[in-house]
Amino acid sequence: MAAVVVPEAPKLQVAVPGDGEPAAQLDLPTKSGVIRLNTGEFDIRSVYLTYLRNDNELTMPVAAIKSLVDLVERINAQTTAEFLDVLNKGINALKDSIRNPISLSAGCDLFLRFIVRFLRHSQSLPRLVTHLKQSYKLFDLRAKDSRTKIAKLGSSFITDGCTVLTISFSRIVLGMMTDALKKHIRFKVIVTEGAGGKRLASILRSKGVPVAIIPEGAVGYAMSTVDIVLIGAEGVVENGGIINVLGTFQMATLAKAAGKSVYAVCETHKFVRLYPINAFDLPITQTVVNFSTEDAGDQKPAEKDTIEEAERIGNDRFVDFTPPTLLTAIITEAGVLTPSSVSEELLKIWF
Amino acid sequence: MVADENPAALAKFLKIVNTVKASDATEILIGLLKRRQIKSSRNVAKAVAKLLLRFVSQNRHTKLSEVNGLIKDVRDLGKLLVAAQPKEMVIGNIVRRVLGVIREEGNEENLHQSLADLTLGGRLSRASSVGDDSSAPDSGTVTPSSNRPFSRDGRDFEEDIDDLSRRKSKVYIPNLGRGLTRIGSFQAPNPSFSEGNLQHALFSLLHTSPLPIDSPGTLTPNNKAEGKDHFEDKDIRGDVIDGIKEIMEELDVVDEQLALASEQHIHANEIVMVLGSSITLQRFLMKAAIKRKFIVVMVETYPNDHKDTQEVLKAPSKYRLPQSKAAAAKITASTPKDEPMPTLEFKNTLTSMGVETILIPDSVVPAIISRVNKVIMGSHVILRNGSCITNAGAKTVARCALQHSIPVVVVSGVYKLSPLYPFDPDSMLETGDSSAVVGWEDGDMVGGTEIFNPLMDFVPDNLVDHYITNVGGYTPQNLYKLVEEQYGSATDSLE
Repeated sequence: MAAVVVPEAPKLQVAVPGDGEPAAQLDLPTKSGVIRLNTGEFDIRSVYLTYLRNDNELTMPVAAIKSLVDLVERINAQTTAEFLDVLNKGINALKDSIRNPISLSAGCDLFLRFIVRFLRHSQSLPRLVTHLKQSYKLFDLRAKDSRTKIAKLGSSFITDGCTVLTISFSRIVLGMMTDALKKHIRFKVIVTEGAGGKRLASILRSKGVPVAIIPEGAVGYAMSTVDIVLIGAEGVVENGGIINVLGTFQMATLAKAAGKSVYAVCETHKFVRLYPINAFDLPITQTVVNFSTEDAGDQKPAEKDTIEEAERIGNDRFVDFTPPTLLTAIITEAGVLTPSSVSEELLKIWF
Repeated sequence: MVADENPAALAKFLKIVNTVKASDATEILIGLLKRRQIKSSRNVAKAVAKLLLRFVSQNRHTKLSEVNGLIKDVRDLGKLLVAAQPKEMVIGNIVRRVLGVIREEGNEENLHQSLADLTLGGRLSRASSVGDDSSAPDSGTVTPSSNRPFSRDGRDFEEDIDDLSRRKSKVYIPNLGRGLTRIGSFQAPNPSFSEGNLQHALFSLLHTSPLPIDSPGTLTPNNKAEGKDHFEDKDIRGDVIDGIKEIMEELDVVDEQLALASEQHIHANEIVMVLGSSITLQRFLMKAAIKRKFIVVMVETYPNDHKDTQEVLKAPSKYRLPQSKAAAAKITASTPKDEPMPTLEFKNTLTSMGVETILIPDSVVPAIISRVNKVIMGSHVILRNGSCITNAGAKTVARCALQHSIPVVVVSGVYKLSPLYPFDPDSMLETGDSSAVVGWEDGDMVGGTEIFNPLMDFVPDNLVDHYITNVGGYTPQNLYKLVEEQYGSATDSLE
């Protein structure tokens, strides 16, 4: 099973959230994200997007798992092979229909591994469904639980009087800062303006934290005043690098050059089986670098205004890849990990 | 690492600890720690282990059912000791190790849970606990690695019962986890401890165990209670004491275990820069000197450690045993039983063993370092992320070594490995007596200048290439595995 199967990911600008763009693949159903079951059609894409729209706190991998559970309940398979086949189709349909499926693919892969392992231990299919139904309600709970755990663990990194540099809006980084506030730690925050940075600033300011919003170009300028860099992550790849909103890579590079610690903050269910060397190895198509001889062909920047909506659904912001050498550590609910330990943990569940 | 100026204090404490109440002994040790009368990592570790032994043997919680009470008491004691000397992180390490021992004994209680979810849930949690059983295609086989009694790896229930009955009979069966103390046992990491950690965490989203499963196959609460009555009177004190004794034994043999690895790290005709005068390092070098011919460049580490460093080179050294047998016998008699017996090689110093030794002041390290093949240093404490705290001056050496791409090797017993993360490294460093830099008699200097004497350096993980411990070599990036193996996944806060 390949970790991420996206032969032709739709381009970033094309899609409008809501209507699936027609995919041209032959073996795919007419509408992307819809799979045909013997009990009828199942639109996994809209299920997934509904989950994300309804719950602001839900992460993409957890939403993917929840939609797959919905799918599993509808599968009426006689054999395990048939069951897995339909499940795989569902996973592929979901991955293909979302523009940036990296984060959700972590959830899909985790779910698939779990099911394979479950079935290998001679569990029957009905039992699996029962089990999934039972733990269904717990998914959110556990996912949120791990976030509070990370917040508790990570807030120790924020020390009294320090200045934290962060990028865009990350629920988990916000959680850490809120936890630090509860401990009456006084700190300042610098955030870049794009991709939800303003939202983070207004939330923090309402809690009484001094926040500076800087343009992306001022990261290097501001770096000397920074004590620690905290960044969220959309996904952590096998070599310990992270995939996050565009600009993370340069922020980490500048921080490394200035000798500041860079901590990525992320739940373990975002560990994804990819091994990119640079951002162009990611299995998504991004039109960040566009060469053109005409002025009209200039690249439009990613639409920042829709980011709140976009973040919850299609995730249509550009991402980049930050190599593990630039990260000091990855803070997860399982502890503060070195980047090199990520691959080991992934290998453990895969082999 | 810090040379102990007063080893007699430790000997005295070890002697009286058995004659007074545990609470009094605690007070005495707190006093000794606060006054820095017991100073070096190992002596502190020994004193704490001994005190914990006394404490556990006098504690009112002895039964399996009271294991939580025992854990709480030990943790409270640990908090007192850590508060007495927060910069001596070895205290926390030993207390956490002992807590780990108690937890492991208390784990028998977990059996009831595994009984309960055996039929359905047990299998589910096995399915989700992954790892061990994935490598073994047949979940029913015992893998050699699954040596811990009640780990829910892929073993059958019958074997759990087997283990239980074995434990019930008073035979103490040491397990892999603590078998680490055996001399020369370089074992693979104990996989059972990893059960509760990340690998589990990856699946934690999906697994079942906290969920009540209403399946007809599940044992009824009655059965559960019945089973519980049967075991909860079991006395675990003896097992815990055995565990603590193993830790103490480890402290005694750690130097020898470390020295065994020296030949692999020091090669013929190498020039080795050495920082630190600890007995551990001396033994390490001397063991290598038996077979190898190499040159040692000793860094002086003025002003805190230079005298000890010179002592190492001089013969006779203060660590040297008296030559006459009578005197040796006398020493043996006067040494308390818990003190390690100095070994034969200790009659010699590096110079008398024919090792060419060069003593250099700290200021010439950058000049000399390009000629050196390897840097070997001791440490005061190793932290979970791979950084370590060592003698002042170590960071300079490590930085110079990095500049010249020279490997930096830290030799240290595993008892110095702390499960803590350096959130604020500066707070962990100790500052010492500034009169060592400029004496009080120098009125002009004392009156007109501010003089600092930091005792420690924080060496970040990227400056260290390799850690040699008594349980094998680790890179800084992989130390977290050793932490898990030593302390389990639960980290006790002792602050």
